[in-house]
Amino acid sequence: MAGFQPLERYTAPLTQGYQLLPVRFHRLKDSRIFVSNLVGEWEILSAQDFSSYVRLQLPHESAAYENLRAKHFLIDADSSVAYDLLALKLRTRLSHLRNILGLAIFVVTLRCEHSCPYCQVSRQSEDRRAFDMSRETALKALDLLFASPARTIKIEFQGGEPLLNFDLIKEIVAQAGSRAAASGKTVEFVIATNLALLDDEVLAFCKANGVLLSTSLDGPADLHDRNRPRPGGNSHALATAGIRRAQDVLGHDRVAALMTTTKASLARAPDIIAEYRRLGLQEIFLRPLSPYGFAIKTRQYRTYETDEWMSFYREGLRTVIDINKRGERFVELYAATVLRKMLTPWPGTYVDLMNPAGIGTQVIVFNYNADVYASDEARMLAEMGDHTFRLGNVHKDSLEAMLTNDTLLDAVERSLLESAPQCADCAFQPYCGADPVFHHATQGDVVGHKPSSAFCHRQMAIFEELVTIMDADPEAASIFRSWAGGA
Amino acid sequence: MVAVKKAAFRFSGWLTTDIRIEDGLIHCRLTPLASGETEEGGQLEHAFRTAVLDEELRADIGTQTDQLRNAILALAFAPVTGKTGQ
Repeated sequence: MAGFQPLERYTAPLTQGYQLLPVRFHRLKDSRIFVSNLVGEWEILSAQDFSSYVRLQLPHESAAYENLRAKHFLIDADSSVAYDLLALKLRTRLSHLRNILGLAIFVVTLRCEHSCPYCQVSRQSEDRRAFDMSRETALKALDLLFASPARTIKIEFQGGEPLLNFDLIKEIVAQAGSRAAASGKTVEFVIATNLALLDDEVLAFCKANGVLLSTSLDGPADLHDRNRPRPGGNSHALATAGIRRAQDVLGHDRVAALMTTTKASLARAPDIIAEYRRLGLQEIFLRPLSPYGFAIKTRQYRTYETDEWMSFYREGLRTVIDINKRGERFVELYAATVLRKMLTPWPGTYVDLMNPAGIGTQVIVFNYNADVYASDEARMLAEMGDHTFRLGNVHKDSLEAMLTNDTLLDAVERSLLESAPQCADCAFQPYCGADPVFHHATQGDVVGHKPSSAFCHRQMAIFEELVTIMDADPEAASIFRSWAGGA
Repeated sequence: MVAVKKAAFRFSGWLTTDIRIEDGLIHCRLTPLASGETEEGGQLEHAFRTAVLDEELRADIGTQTDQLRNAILALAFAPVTGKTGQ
């Protein structure tokens, strides 16, 4: 009959010692060692404990030993299930690969009435209808999209300003809904809009069809209007009025906002967060400036270094943590995305932080002109004249041909972190992503030279910041765990 | 030598490393990419030496664990039978 072993079985010294399980390590600034395993579980060890651990001399009765065994950093006679558990967690972590093309972006127009100097999409002025997606292109794109094996699809409408082609959005939503119902798939919709054109008709439509609205809010009026000029100079007034109006009709959880950091933003993290809270928003995504579109042309991209942005991010993150400590739930979404990977076995949901790269596998972009791109950033690169990541055209190419495009497969394969120089040995690899489009755009190579990569520099700094906070501040760690579960 | 090259790669964002072998010893000449104080150069040298040792340790860990890693990966990617209890 099965039963518990006698107590002595658990307290007796090991006679056979232990073996290391696959582990990577990183030296923190305070000389302690961060260790992680294949599935992203992690510990911070003193230099002495780390030295003992790797020399197979860590005392069996020590707290470090118990933690490392529980998290599958070592295996001994009492932990034979470690292999199976690690394999199971690895499958869980990669489970998103079965739902390819879960995100489809429809660029319904390139027209926009704003003139943001950091615009990533190289928008066109409002009167140029040649930059609208046609009905034929939209329907053909839906044919291709619903031919993929994805069971859950999110369709995101982007532009330019997508509400300038609202009639087409309505048709795509109706068609996609019908096809989803017929095929047993689930489809969700998001409109990424500046809200300047929001009216009762749009709100009624969004409410009836469960459409989520995502907008840009760069901070208080002076900052937002400076970053996002439009005729009349009233972008902030329109955006905030639109947010409140949408919240009233659709609900607070159906309206989201994103900010973009410019040089002018760097000293204003608390002000930006306060503005989000003033509008009843419960999340913020502290984003850096990306190297695409007008951001390059207007020289916005290199106006601040990564370290300056990290100072901004640290201040913003600490401000958000303090808000949570006072009892109000407010989430920094980038941290939440990373923490989901650090604190749960679940895969990440952010394309730029996926490994294998999410381009063309998790996301596909149907451009207004019927061209198909591997990601939104690939589309932005095309507007700058670089069509490297163009997969094909909806009217000319099959889905299979586009997804087996040599350039795409080469980029995904070569950028795989497990085989990329420096990434292969990095302790933060389980939380990071391959961003081949970024590295192609900034360094001319899909793998990139990580020692000089702004992406790598930023990611490493964020990872270190998060683990350092969790290690030093149990209350903040608890807050982070609540974010990870909801990300 | 592999450890030295890997360490040199890690630091290639901050310095160039000239590597030569002479009398059975590996000699590294470190040149910071940006001009800096001598003290900063000393810190870089210390960090580089630590990095070489770390790369050797990574190689040693790899020797101990690579087969286990491959076994775990094989287990993770093995077909699922779909039968209860298996």
